[in-house]
Amino acid sequence: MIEHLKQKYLEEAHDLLLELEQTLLLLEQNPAAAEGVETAFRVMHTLKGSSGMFGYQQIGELVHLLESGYDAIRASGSPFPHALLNLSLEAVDHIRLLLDAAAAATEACQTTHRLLLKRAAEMLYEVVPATDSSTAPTRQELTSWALLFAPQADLFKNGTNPLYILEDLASLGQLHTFADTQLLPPAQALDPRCCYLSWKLLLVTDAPESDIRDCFLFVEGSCRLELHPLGPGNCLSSLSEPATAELARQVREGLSWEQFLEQLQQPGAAVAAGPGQLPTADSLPEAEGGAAGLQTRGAASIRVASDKLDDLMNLVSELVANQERLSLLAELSLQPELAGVAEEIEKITRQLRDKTFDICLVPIGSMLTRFKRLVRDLSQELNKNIVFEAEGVETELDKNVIQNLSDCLVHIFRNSIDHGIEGEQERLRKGKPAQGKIVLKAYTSGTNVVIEVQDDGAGIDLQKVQQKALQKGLIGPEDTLSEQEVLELLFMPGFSTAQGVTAVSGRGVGMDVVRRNMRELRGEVTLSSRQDAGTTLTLTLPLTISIIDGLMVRIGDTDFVLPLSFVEKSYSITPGQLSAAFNNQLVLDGEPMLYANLADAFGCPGVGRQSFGVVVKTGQQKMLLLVDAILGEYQAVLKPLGRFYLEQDFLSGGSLKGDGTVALVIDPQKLIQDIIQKTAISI
Amino acid sequence: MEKSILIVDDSETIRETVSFTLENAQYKVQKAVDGEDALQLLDKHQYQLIITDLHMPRLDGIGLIKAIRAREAHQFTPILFLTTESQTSRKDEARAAGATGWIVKPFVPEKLVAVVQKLIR
Repeated sequence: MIEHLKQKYLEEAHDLLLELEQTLLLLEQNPAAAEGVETAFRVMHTLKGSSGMFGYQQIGELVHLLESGYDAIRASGSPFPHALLNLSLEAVDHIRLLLDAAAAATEACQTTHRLLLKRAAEMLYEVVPATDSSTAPTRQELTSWALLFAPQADLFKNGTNPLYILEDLASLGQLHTFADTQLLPPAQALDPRCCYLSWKLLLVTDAPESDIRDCFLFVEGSCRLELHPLGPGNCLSSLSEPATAELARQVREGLSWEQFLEQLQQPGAAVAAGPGQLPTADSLPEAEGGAAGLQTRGAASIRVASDKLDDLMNLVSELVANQERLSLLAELSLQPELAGVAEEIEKITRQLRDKTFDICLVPIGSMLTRFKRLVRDLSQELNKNIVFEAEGVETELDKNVIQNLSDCLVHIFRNSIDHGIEGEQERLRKGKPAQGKIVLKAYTSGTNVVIEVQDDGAGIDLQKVQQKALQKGLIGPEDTLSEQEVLELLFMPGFSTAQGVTAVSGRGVGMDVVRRNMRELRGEVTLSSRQDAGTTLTLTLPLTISIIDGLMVRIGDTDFVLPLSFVEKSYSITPGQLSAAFNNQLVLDGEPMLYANLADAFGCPGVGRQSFGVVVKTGQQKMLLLVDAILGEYQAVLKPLGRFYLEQDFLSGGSLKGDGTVALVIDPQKLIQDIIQKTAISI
Repeated sequence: MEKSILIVDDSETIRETVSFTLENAQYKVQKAVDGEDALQLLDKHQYQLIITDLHMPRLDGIGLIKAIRAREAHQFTPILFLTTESQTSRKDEARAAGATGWIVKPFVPEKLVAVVQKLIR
């Protein structure tokens, strides 16, 4: 991949050199042309930037020197010196050589290079910078720091989010934050575009000072930043909880930086002082190191029984549901203290949820390497030309499910490669491309994950299957079977259509085993096939639990949840816009957009004001869905719907809301398909 | 929701390298060849982060940053600029115009992703 980028770089470099050459020749005729210097500078700047990235350091260093020269001229506005022009033209020729790897390696070229560098350096009174001896970041001893971070009020105007800076700091080690809220005005006078807060921080880390300063790199000019070392080791280990709370209170009430430091150094106060009492890095109690996450770096993993993880997932989903209730109650109660607690719980719940998912779910992509390898090795062994593609690899599944699934898929792949895809000659005879293709598609559909393995091979010969079944006595001669029933035979125990047992197939695992394994996972496997067009195996697996981030909307008197991952934008729509709409399209932001009225689609007896539109994007398809109201973001614990809802597929589940009512979760993919089909008919 | 990033640079190599790196890190990337081009895209789309070169034909980086900050939809969007300069004058100029931070060229992919992650998550 990087090779094709390098090719692009080479093409571009040659273009740039040509442009530079032309500019230089123009400058020769008119040495006072400021525009020319500007262009030359810009071209060199671009060349230098990309050269370094593709390992052309020599070009980089030469251009850098020249660029400095042009920059000086640009700044001073003095006319263009002739000597620099000659040098630049020579450099252009030389760089062309350097771009050719073979030519660049020659001794002559290297000598020219040194000579040119020397001349350029002399001309610009600048010394060639010594080759960068980048110092490897060395981990230091654990050190404790006190920090003051007081941003200017206009911090947000540069798009900076101070929260991220604090998070970066927290990732360096153990961080205590104390926010100073003195400047915070009452809510009516608060300007949300201003930053009123400042922070005093205590950090225990083994990162060097430069790493700490790096966190503040982009805000250095627009904040007051103080770094004060408290001493080696963890000086905060003796910081008790009441002491922390007391310190936090004082800071909130406007403790100055000097007072803050004083507080920390007071004997018997928050922080243990004096080198004698300092616990050093290696004498730290284990728990302390664990909390800081420093000593445990690179530590091994632990094994946990999978049913414990299932329990954990269930508990988390219950917690999420209850937290939504708490948030709702807090909102209704109008007690600010309760709102604060609810907000905090919401934050923690969200983190807990993400962590749990992280532990229990893995993307399907994690299995891919194994399959890629399998396809490559097998197709070589069988002398077939096969390419493997995967879609939706980010779809996540339970860890233990992936394990079992992987074995089933290996078998399915083997079948496709061995029996499905034909040899090159035969494919060409059938008028197909010589290269066969196997595609793995994974996607979430409601509370299920679907995995499809598709090949463009010969498909399944139904007649052969039937004969075989007859031979084996699985069916009687008088049985007439539908196509689907014949395919089902493949899943019967002890059935194998392989002409002869090759090295590849016939290793004892048949499709019956695949089906049995899938059923153990509470999943299902189905097969569809067309002669000479290929075979598709579809595995459907239920998600143990599913929590999605959604946007809650109201249609009529029912609440619906749209998964946030599909939502692009929302608009306020006036009835005027709707009456002016033509051909089911509204013009939004200058682009036509297909729209659908959900109240109509669902047959809701809604008032139908349709005052809001939500743009939903699935794959390439975009559609504006009209709803009565947008209620806000919502974490939905997805539960399957009862059997009354079996007939439809555009609702993927239900979610119990805080007030005990149910919100229905929409599957945007299915819904849009549905609507498009229906409108197609109505046109 | 997928984070989308706009990269503005007149060099195709830089555009491609940056988008390749960021797409690998699961960001959605759109490309513009100069400031004018970028402003047209900004009219139609909302981005979580904008990365721009400083030296470009037509509308240059500083002009672009100022124009972005003048738009309500992108008043607080983080903006990174690409620079090879070690001197601070350009940096200060860009910061004064409203840029959030910078990336020094040449960069290694990990560094680029690290800087981007400093600003959006």
